[in-house]
Amino acid sequence: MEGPPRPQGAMSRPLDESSPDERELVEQAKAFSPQAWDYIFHAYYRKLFRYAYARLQDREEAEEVAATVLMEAVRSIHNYTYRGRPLLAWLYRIARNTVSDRLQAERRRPPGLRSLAQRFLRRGGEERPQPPEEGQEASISGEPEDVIERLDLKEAMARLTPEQREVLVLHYFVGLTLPEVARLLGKHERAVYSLQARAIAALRRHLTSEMTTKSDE
Amino acid sequence: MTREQERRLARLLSRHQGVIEDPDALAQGEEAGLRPLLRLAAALERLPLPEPEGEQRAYVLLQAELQRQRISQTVGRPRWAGLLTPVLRPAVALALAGLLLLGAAGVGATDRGRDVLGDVLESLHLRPPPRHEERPVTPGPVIPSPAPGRPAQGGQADGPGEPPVRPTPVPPTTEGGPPEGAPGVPGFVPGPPGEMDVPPERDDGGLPPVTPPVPSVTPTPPAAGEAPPGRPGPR
Repeated sequence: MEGPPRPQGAMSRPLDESSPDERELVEQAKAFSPQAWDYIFHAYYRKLFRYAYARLQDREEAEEVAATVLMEAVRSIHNYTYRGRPLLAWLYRIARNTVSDRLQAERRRPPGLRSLAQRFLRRGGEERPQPPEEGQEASISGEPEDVIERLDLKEAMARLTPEQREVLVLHYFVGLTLPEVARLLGKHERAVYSLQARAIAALRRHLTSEMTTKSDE
Repeated sequence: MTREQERRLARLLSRHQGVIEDPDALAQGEEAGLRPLLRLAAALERLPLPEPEGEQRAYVLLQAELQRQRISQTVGRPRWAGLLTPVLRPAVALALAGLLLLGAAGVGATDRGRDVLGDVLESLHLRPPPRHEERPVTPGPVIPSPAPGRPAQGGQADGPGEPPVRPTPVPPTTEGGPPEGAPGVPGFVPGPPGEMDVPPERDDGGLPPVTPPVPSVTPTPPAAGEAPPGRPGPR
């Protein structure tokens, strides 16, 4: 697929989050400069998509969330004041709220339909009423076993505390380094490493208990 | 996992990326019983990052939203309006407050306005009790009766004062000479015969001389404070 055109000019160089240019970028974005918004789109759209995908485990919804976040950013950029924190932190906050709204809406749906869909997916697609298009899952994870693992991982991650989950999602699924995660969450690096360690231990515990339950079944 | 294990795991994770590949980190983890956790961390590191497929669509949506915002910014409100708003708002508020004060002062300057304001304050239970209840009543200064044709001066505001004395109307005579009964009026100075009766000159120069009313056949209008005569009822 041919991607959208890359931004040209001064904004096209990579932007470090601590770079003073980010202040300029925000000013230009407030003036609705197309170059600035091109830059924001290409710098952050994938990260927003990966975050939404890790939380929702649904490609279409994740793409919708990422697009919604950027449109919401265009609408409310005039309320944003740059105070030295990365712009991605603001976008991430919008994304987290959007994802939470969707998850809440999902929880309000009848539980029967939800668990039925999850059960079909967990059985490796054998009883899927509508099998997905060919190659769709392969593009996400490669093998069906990975899908099952990912679903289990999703359930295990859902049992973590919100802070632990955010650290793991941003580090392992969005691809940010832990210092970047610390800046995004406004936390000390040491605190983020500690959260990561606790999250991995809890994850391991949940995954082990799930494996035990499965083998009992 | 103990506190100590948690600290060691955090240290290992911060020092080594992809710890499963690092024999040194694994050895340290094994000593501390952290090997399974390090393996899990390494497995998570190896998870492929998903790539979006609808990037083009999202880009088009963003451009459309950007265009919409640009149009609404330029059409909906001129650029200078945004700059002037912080200045205009306080100015308008100040002008309104000033008008309100001027209006209140204007209303308070008239007797009727004072009455109205008094009623309003009273209805709001904001009016202080009348002054005569607070202070003992002291008589006002004694003012001598004015000469005829000169309006009496009222008492002071704080005291009852003397009631104003209306000048007794003196009917002018065309023939001259003092009219009947006129000498009884104190301060009356008869004019020379055959001349108009001229009131004495004022030495204060402030108030205008009062011209005595010309008696006529029509009934004298009722004095202030009297009720006007009622209309005859329908036949």
